[in-house]
Amino acid sequence: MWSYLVRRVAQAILILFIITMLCFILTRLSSDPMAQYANKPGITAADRAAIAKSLGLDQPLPVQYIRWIGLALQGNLGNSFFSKQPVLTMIEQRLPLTLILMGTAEVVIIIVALTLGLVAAVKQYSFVDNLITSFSFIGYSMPIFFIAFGSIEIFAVQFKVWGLPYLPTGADIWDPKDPLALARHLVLPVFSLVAIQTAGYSRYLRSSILEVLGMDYVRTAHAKGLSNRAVLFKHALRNAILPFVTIVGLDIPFLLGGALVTESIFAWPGMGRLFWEYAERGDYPVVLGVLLVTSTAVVFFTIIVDLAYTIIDPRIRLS
Amino acid sequence: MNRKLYVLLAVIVLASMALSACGGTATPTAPATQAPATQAPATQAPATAAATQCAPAKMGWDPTTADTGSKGMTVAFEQEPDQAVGMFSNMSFAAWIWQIFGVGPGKWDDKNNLVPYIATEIPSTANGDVSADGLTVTWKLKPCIFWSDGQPITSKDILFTWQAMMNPANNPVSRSGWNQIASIDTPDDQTAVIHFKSLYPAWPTLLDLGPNNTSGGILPAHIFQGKTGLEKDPQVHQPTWAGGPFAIKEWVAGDHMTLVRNPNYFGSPAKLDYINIKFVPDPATGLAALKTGDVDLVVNFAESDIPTLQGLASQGIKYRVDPTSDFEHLFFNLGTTAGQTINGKVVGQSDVDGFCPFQDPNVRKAIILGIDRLSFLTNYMHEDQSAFIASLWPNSYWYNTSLTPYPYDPTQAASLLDAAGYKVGSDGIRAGTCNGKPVKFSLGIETTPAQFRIDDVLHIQSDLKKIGIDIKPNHIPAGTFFGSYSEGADMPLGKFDMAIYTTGFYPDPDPTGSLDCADVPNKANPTGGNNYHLCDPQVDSLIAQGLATADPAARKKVYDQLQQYMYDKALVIPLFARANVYGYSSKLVFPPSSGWANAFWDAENFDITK
Repeated sequence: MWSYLVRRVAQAILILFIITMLCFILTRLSSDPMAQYANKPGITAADRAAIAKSLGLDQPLPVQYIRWIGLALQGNLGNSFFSKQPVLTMIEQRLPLTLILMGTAEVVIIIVALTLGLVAAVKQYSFVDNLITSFSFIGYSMPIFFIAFGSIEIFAVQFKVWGLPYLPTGADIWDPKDPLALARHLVLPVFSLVAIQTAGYSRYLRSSILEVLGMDYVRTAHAKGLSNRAVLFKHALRNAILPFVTIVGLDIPFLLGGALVTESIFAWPGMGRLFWEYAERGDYPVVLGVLLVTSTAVVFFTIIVDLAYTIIDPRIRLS
Repeated sequence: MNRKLYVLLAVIVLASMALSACGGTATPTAPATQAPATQAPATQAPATAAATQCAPAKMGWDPTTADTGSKGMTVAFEQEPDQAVGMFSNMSFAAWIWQIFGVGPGKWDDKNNLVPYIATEIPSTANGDVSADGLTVTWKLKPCIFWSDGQPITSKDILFTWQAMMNPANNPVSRSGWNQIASIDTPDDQTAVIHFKSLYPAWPTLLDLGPNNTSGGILPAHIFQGKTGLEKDPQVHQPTWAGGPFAIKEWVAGDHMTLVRNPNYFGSPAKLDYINIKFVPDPATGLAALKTGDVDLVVNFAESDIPTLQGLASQGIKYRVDPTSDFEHLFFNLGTTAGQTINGKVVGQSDVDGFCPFQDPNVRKAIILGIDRLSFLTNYMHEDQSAFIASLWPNSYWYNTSLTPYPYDPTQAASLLDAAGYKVGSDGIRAGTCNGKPVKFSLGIETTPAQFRIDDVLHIQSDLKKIGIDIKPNHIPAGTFFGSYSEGADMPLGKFDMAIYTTGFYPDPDPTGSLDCADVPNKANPTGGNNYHLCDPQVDSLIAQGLATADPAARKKVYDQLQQYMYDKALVIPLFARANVYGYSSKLVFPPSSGWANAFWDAENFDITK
């Protein structure tokens, strides 16, 4: 067990190192921080040279990376090229709101997917199953911006026109005079995320339950005279849910990265927007900081999931 | 007798106190190196009537603990500023915030004029505040004006700002112009005498507030004295001080910024209690928020949104279009590895040659004549014909009004190309020889992926095809398109045929850095900003003449000549002047604005009606 853990942690460190290096190269090749200063007549060539020097951009790329990784190993993710703020502070400001949005969405997605998956499996090929399947495919195939803008148009703009209580689009999240503002602001982005992501989970669960329901031990349980409800919840579901738990477990670290499109459309100040807004400007300390946090979480949760297998399924031995 | 003497002495002391407070020679109430007065407890103004006239309304006022009030407006910004103090940011969004809470001796108004702000008048040779040789500029400040914390705004702040900008331990965006100052004298608290090392006609760009001006505004010495690394200072990122009508109360990263009325503002008190700036990255969400009333003003709609905004009048939404001096232009890569010989010295060499036929003015003229620019402007950008421009200084005093934009004339364009020896081949594309080498008019246009540019390039592609020029669009993300030489970007390296983007030569018309030989980027000069790779001795000469006098009328003549020359030689293709497009609620009282001043030049006059 311990040797396995040590081996995995060593692998994780190597993986993180490779990830940061690849991300650094991709970020630096895809956007130049100095582009911000290229097109303003008031800024002279001397100004541009001074800015490049002050940001360390006059150094060769390997030197820039080694400087960054050296600081990161000391727990210092550096400062943003543009806001000049510590990257760690910027991440701390955005992470809680991302977790609120993505955490709420994930909980709702799990509840809805569980319910729909279960109903669809139990009522296989019924009208309800076909209805759920149809809506799942619609949700799955629809781009999130379509649902997001559609929900804004209906539940915000048109509801106001119709004189109904309407949901906010650009209202403040932190309004001290209105403590419910955060909850109201959550409704539409969570709805959009749920509409898109529930489909995959529910379809996965449906097929998993159907597979389990056809197994011998379920037939035995029925033969023993157990009620359908007891067979489903006490025997079938517990086994069927195992792969679902794995998927959810592996998805959790990605919650830290936020949802770029959803956050942008709903003006949600989360990690996805932080990443994108600074990636566009080539601010690699911020981009790499966000990626490092996200990839560390992915690697960490992968190890946790691997360890959890041994607890959930006694047939698995780490040795 | 003694009693009368004491009374007389008391009167003299009181009178001298009052005079010193109002007369402008008063020293600050706290030493410059003392901690910001925002930490001091609020005190009432002195009791004497004379002193009250020259005391802040609320000494030690701190916006972070101030009441927000109930009457305010919410503005949607597409991007969040990276800093709040203008000279440490290159973002327009930061410049707009800076206009709301910062101050400078002057600012640009709704008619694009430089008007006094904390100064009593704009220096000129007529009023004697600009010396005859143009090397000395004197700013005279209003008396009894205060920062939001109650400390006086004085000429020492101007001196400090210059020192801070030139301190190598600080990293402002630009030191351009500041490095032309030899010294600043502050004979009294209301007078700053700026001595330049050499003639610097663009002196108004230093200190004065304008959204296209990275050197505008002044810093409070009592806040920053003794500090270095100001670009990282919390009082630069999120200041608790202000000189303008509002001060920053809070800034929730990524979400919003709230500015509250500054009670110590020297001008008319702001009509609103607060301005809430909401960061809404998606324009469509901004529009939806305007419709629902979540925001009162959206500041950066595209010109192509004008018809949409026109259709919202019934929903209580108004719009405004302010023409600006920014312009969209298509330009040629005029670079040559040979460069030009000026005064016996070879300058302006590019690393690679541009498309050889572009060296022929008739070819350039043909391409201008071959594009129906007006049609795109009116049908797609929905601007009026005043945005159809002939040169690069639109909507400004400096624009040469005698020039008429080249018309759309494909017949003449084809004739010019035929005459230049470039005939249409069997594939419909022109070809010929240039400097003895075969060339084919199959050209790339590089630009960003903004939707209007995608449409614009398609429009140009269609027009030029009719005269035998094949266009291959290349839409590159702005972060790479505007990349630097050292990062291998196409424009500075000269690896492009034509390109399109928006820029603007204002508030000062000087195009040094963009059009002069010395700024052609190459291996020896990688930070040069002349993306046109233009090196023309006549252009250089006119640019130099424009900087040889501080007299606006004399400069105007020079820039008229420069525009005429560039027009005749068809050195660039001006496409259209850009506009600021605002959408706002009909309950918002939106004061007059302009392309130079933008929306927030007099933020105190915004109001909300019921």
